[in-house]
Amino acid sequence: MTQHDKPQPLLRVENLAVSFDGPAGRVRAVNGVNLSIYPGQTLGVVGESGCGKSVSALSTLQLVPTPPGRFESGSIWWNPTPSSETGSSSETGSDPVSLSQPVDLLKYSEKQMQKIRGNDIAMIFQEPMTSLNPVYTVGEQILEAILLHQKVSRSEAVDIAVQALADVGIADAASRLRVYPHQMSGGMRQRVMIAMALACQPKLLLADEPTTALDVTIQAQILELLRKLQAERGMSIMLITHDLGVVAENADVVAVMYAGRVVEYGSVHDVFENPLHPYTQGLFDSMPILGSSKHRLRTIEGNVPNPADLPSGCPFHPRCRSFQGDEHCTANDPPLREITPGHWASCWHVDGHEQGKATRPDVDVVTQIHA
Amino acid sequence: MTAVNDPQSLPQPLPAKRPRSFLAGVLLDMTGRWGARIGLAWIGLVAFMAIFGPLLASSHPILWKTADGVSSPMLKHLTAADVIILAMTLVAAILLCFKRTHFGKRVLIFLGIGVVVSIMTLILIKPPQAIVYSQYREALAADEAQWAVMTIVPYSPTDRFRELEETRFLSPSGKHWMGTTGDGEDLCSRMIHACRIALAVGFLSTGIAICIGVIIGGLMGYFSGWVDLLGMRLVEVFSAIPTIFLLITFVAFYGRNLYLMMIILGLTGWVGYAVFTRAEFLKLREQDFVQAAIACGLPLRSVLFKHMLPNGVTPVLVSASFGVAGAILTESTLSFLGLGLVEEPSWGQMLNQARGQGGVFTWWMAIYPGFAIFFTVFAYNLVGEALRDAIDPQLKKAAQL
Amino acid sequence: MLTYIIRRLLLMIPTLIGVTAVVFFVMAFAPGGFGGNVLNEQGAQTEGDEARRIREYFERRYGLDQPAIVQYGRWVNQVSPVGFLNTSQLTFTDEQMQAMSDVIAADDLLPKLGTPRALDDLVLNMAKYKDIEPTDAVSVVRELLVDVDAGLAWIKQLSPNILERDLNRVTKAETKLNQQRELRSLLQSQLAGRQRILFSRPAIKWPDLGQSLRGRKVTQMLAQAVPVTVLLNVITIPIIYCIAILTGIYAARHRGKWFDIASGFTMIALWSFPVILAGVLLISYLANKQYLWWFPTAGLHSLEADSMRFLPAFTGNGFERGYLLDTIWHLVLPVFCLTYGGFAVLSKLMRGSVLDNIRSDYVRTVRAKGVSEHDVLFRHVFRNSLLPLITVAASIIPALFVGSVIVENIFSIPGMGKLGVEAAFMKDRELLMGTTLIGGLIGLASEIMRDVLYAMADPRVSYE
Ligand SMILES: Nc1ncnc2c1ncn2[C@@H]1O[C@H](COP(=O)(O)OP(=O)(O)OP(=O)(O)O)[C@@H](O)[C@H]1O
Ligand SMILES: [Mg+2]
Repeated sequence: MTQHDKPQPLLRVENLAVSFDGPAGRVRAVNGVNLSIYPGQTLGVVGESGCGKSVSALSTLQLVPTPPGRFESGSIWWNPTPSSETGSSSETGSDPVSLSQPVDLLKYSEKQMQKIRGNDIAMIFQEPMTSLNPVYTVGEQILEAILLHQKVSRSEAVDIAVQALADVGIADAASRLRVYPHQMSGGMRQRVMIAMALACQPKLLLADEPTTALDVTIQAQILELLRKLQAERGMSIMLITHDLGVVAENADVVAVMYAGRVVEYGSVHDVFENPLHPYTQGLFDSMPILGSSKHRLRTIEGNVPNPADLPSGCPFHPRCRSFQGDEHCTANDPPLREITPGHWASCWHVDGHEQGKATRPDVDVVTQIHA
Repeated sequence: MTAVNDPQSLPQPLPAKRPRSFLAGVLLDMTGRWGARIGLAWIGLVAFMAIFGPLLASSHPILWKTADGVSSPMLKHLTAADVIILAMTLVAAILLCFKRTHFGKRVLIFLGIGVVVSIMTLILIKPPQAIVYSQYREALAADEAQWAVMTIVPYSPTDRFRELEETRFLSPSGKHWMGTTGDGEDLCSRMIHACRIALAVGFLSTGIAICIGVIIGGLMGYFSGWVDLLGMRLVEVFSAIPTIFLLITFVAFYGRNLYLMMIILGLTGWVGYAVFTRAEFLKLREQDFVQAAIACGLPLRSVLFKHMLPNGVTPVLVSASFGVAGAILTESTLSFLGLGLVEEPSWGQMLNQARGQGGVFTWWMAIYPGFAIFFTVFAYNLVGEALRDAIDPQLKKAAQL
Repeated sequence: MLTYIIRRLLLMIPTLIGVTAVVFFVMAFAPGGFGGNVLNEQGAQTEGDEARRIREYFERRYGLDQPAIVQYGRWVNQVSPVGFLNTSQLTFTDEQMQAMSDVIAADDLLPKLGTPRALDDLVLNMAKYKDIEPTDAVSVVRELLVDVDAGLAWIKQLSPNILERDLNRVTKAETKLNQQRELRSLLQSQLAGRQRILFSRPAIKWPDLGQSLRGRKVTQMLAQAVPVTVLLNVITIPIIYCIAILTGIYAARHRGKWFDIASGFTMIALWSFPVILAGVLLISYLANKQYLWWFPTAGLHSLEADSMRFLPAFTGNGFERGYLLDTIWHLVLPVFCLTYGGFAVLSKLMRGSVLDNIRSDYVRTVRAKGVSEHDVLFRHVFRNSLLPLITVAASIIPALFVGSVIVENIFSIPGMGKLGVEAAFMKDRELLMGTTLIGGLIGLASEIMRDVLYAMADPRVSYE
């Protein structure tokens, strides 16, 4: 399966399904998600509220609360070493557990996960106001992560923390270490969260709506900051957002999610130039375009379906523009098919029924950071 | 699977159910919990004994035949309170059968009949003042009476067997199921008659406390401003008073009377309810439906009582349940300390007498009343706990709608 | 912070005035007045005039002949550290007393009218009442006694309600000397115990809680009783908190498992178990000759505790338990009674608080850093979960107070609770006011302490 000339993805999510037991029965929050992220790549994940973006990201770190959560199926392959380096080592065969062999994070024990969390994969959350422990200083919270994963003395750790805070653009970092979260603004707290996440030089950053709670100017600063840090360190980012503009500016690859599954997947260029799925098209239509007053904004009619009670067949069909009452849409859930090279969509209406193979999406473009 | 153009396939609004009131929902949920069931069962038992106490334990025969013919000394000796309670229980039972009449109307009918019955009994019922319990035993022994039907526990709570030999501190036996007290009274009979005091003290004192608390708290929350300021100072003072000292002061200086005791417990217990209601009203005041009611020019009384009170008081039920438990505990504590009622039997007072002079301990005087207090308090706390658990998800559900 | 504490302390004053006023007026408006028991007791032994005189003495001493509001004002003035001196608080040096006695002895009239002690007493009372030098008081007294009519007029002015009968005793006496003797005795009884606030003498003084009906100073009685109650509570509170925190965390971690359910049920049961029953059962089964006599029946120390060494030791006559162990031995049952019900509420609170925190956003962040479950719980969740427990600390203390009243009465421990109940039985006004004041003070102080503790535990709260 692995081709040595092709780089291997850092993270590959396969058929992930997560459900929650609630008062209204079992809810499938994530239902067969497929994704992959390459080293240095930024994957933008967009979709309406409640479509399972956060749960997908949390699953990567096994942070979904269980119970009520439950991993139903799927695997999350983690491959921290780029294949170009490991290719030679696996040929020599001296190492019984080849480093290039991806590991399934869902099979990891709690102890093993603790080594991954914050160290290899870090996450920042969508609520900066409540995501820091109110009774410890910012410094103590950053130091905790550093001391946990790096073999350094406390004073060295303080230096690293100061550097991390300075990196995210906090002036007077050394004195800011002694400040409590409530003494900071939301933007500052989000910077602290980023500093905390990046202090251990993770290979992958899961950024769950890092800017939603912030005002527009701060948003731009934070995203600029992420771009800069990514360019410096070559890490990968999974950027979850509602904002297509943010995706266009920051992501290399886009995954559009709807009702717990990925409905369209491709490079930013492909998806933005030629959106295939009616839902994606709807998203673009509902977005204002600067300088154009040609058309009125259109909304996608109907509401997000209740995850406990999804429509049969394609979950989008009750709201779909292209839906003409075909039996196919109401009966069968469309798989994610590669419609054009490097561009996947799950819709029966795109290119007829037969064309395109149902494959796992896999795009390794890394463009933005060099731009 | 369904036809494509069938509008049925679109998500349908949930079928309209007749909305149940918040309170009814809470009560229904609460009674479904087993803790609450145990508690309610025990409270029911105590209530049964409280109502039918005079018919269960009395030295007066239910029926007996003497030279004057068949008569019922027990009925003759029922006090006005006994008669009112029995009559009102009957009325309540009958009213409960009329399910179709509106609940509020039934309550009104009940209260109306209550007033009439009370006035009539207070005028008509005059039980004999001087009671000689020994007359029955002597009459039976001397064959003046041919036969007598006694109650289940054939002793009155204050029947001291003055004519009999040593009857003090008899341990439980077939004759006296729970033994006798230091004065030779039958403990079982006293236990049964104490139920009424326990229940009455619990309910009435909590009722008084809630009334005062809700009124003061509601006024503070509704008017805020200087009314609030004044009220809060009052609350501060009353919550800083060591309540137990205020209570014993009250009781010591104002005498030992059941009704006074209830009022005193009520007067010292309102603070919590006031603070609670105030907070609730402050929250409610900001809400749209109250603002709308005010904007519509509804009179103050109507805004306060029709629109705010029902929304503000459901959580008060929880504290009320704990409050009843607390009041029963406090009453028994005061009685235990010797500051309680003198003539009427009370569980705390019996427990106090368990340790007689010279440290002689009579276990039955401690175990029976003590555990009666425990089970009753436990029952109320279980109900309160179940109510709280029931209200929590209800509140969450209500918030979502 | 310091200014905050000072402000809170100052705000305590009006609240304390309110607290004591409520209790005072409850007593003042009671039918039968205060001190009924003692007055009746004293009155039972004596009859007629004598009983009346005793009652009048008590009335003068406690100012009962004045309106309730004036009585309360006098009490407040007496307690307040800043106020006016009371005539009873005036003291004289030995030299002054000696000079006074000398002047009296040298007088031509006075020594004939009574014993030197009685005369000293009268003159001293007069000096205090008029707030003058004792030597000057001699001449005042002398003037009143020399002219019987003037003396009677003065007495009438002093106590307008005085009975004609008492005055007649003087006027009906035969010789002038006898009249003067009677007048002296009347004057003496009318001045005895009489108190007056000296508005001319503002002073900063020690708070004085007055005199109990039993004759002792209330301040002294409380100084002995309060430490005992405080000791009981100081031992109890940490025990309650430790048990509550441990069981609360355990129940939260094993939510829905058998321990959680069983502990929830047991907690409600323990909380409902009346302290009076627990106390009676413990003392009757474990400290009773009839059953097991493992623990002492009463008090805080054994009789011979004062002669014990402090620590336990082995000496020539075997094991000596020593003062410390003796006290602990006496405290086991009372502390158990106070403890078992207290942690129920706290444990439930801790459980809920831990559960709330475990689900919160910041804990997710901490987990995402790779912190182990143990550290998540004990480094992060633990500290945040304690905050609600600090909040209720102030309401735990009044509850414990009620417990102490019961426990002290069952186990005959000479603490505040026992004192308060005895005072209520005796209708001892000053003593009840004293216990109420101290009780209120402790309650309010614990509130301030709670707020300070909270500010220390939660950096979000500050009182700048
Ligand atoms: N802890 C949980 N317990 C129960 N259900 C949950 C839980 N977390 C998520 N869900 C359910 O999973 C679904 C997806 O949630 P998720 O948080 O992934 O949405 P999202 O795409 O991140 O939305 P948003 O844009 O609002 O953040 C939701 O329907 C939600 O009800
Ligand atoms: Mg989300």
